Amino acid sequence: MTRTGKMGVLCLALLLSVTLLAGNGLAGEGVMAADATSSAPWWMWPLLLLVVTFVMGVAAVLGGVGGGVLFVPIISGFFPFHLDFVRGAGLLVALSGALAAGPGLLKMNLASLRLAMPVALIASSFAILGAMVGLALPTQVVQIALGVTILGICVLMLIAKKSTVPDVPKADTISSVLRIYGVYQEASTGEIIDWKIHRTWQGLLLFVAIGIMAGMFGLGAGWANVPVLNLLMGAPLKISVATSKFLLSITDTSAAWIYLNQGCVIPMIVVPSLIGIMAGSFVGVRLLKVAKPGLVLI
Amino acid sequence: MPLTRKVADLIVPINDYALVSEDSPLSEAILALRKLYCQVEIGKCTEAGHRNILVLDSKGRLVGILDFRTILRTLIPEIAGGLTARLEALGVSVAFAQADSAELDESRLSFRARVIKNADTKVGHVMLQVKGVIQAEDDLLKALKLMYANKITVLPVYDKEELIGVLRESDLFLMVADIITE
Repeated sequence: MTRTGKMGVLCLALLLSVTLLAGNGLAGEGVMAADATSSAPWWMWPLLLLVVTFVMGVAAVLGGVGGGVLFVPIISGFFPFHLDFVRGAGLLVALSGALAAGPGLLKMNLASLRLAMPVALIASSFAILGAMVGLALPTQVVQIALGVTILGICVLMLIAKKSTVPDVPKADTISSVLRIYGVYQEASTGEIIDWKIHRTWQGLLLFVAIGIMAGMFGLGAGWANVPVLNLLMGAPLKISVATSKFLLSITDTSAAWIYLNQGCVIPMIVVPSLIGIMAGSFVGVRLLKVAKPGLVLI
Repeated sequence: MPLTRKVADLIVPINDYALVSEDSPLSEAILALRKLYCQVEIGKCTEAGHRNILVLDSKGRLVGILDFRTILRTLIPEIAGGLTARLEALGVSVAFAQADSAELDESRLSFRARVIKNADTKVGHVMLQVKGVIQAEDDLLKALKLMYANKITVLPVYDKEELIGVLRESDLFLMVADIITE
């Protein structure tokens, strides 16, 4: 399936969940759809969650999107859980993927600490703010804002192009002072690439918004991090992807504490979701290997 | 009877064995071991080559041993290492897949660069502990028992306090094999 095709299918799934989300929001149903679920045994929901998140993990890898961005709209749209619990779990879902990849990305010299740190400082501070605002606002308002954000993400996924090594004529002052530059070896060609970034102020300002959205909706923020780092700031694609994932482990941790402190992280939802999505992601990568025989995964 | 012979009869003298300082990078140990492993028979490497390198501290005391497995595990942790290292590599693949990257096998693509980087690891950080030593005057049966009890393939041999050589499992095997031909 082509990239646009994959994105189209994912966007359709997201749009469907947005419709349900809007339905929930307008109906003002906050907690559980008690009538529909009271007769179901308690273990049905964790089990269902495990199965759905497993499929979601596979779909995320095959579709080329983060698990967190699928989790919140789909689970809040189709499951009778309050949005606060889903957002809390969504942050941990995004966090688990980031933490699984983080050490490897650093060891492989792909994630740039110099690029990640100033961005993470801003994004995580505003993720805390976003989480507090998100929990203070009425659920209906957050649901509608989430729906609008997801529509925006769909548009971004469909139209955003990527640039393997963007042209950065000259590093700007702030990135030079912060020494945000580096060298990496393009493994497939052996080419040594010196990279630097520009438009740092604009990028950092956008991370204010990304941080707020990550905290408010629990979506993870890879969908926004990569375009900003790659297209706006001019970091090479691989460095952007790796740094974005590493960044999530910092940004989402800050926001997750707020949700944890407010009692919005409940193991009954989080545990099956994490297991399902991680197992699904690992299976998805293996499936990709079958789909693209040229790939040799370790 | 071969097994009544002493350890001293079968040891590889310390001067013929590969030695490295615990502060040296792994790359130095690898090159020293490769040189010795391939010198035993000129032109090709054989089973008779030394498969371990002794690690000494700054005062020349034996503090550890490096073998092929330890070296490979350090150089290529995601393949030869434990579950954590393999999960890390898989996590990286997932990260790239979720970003819709065509190059998922980054961990394999950057193989050479990482081997070179990991070869900078200090020997002292990855060496194996010495699990057993033996005196030159002890008999070979005792050495064999010690090796199997501790699941090791080489025994450092001491003459009282002084390290004088190494007894290898492969030499013990050859000696036992001689029984059949005698």
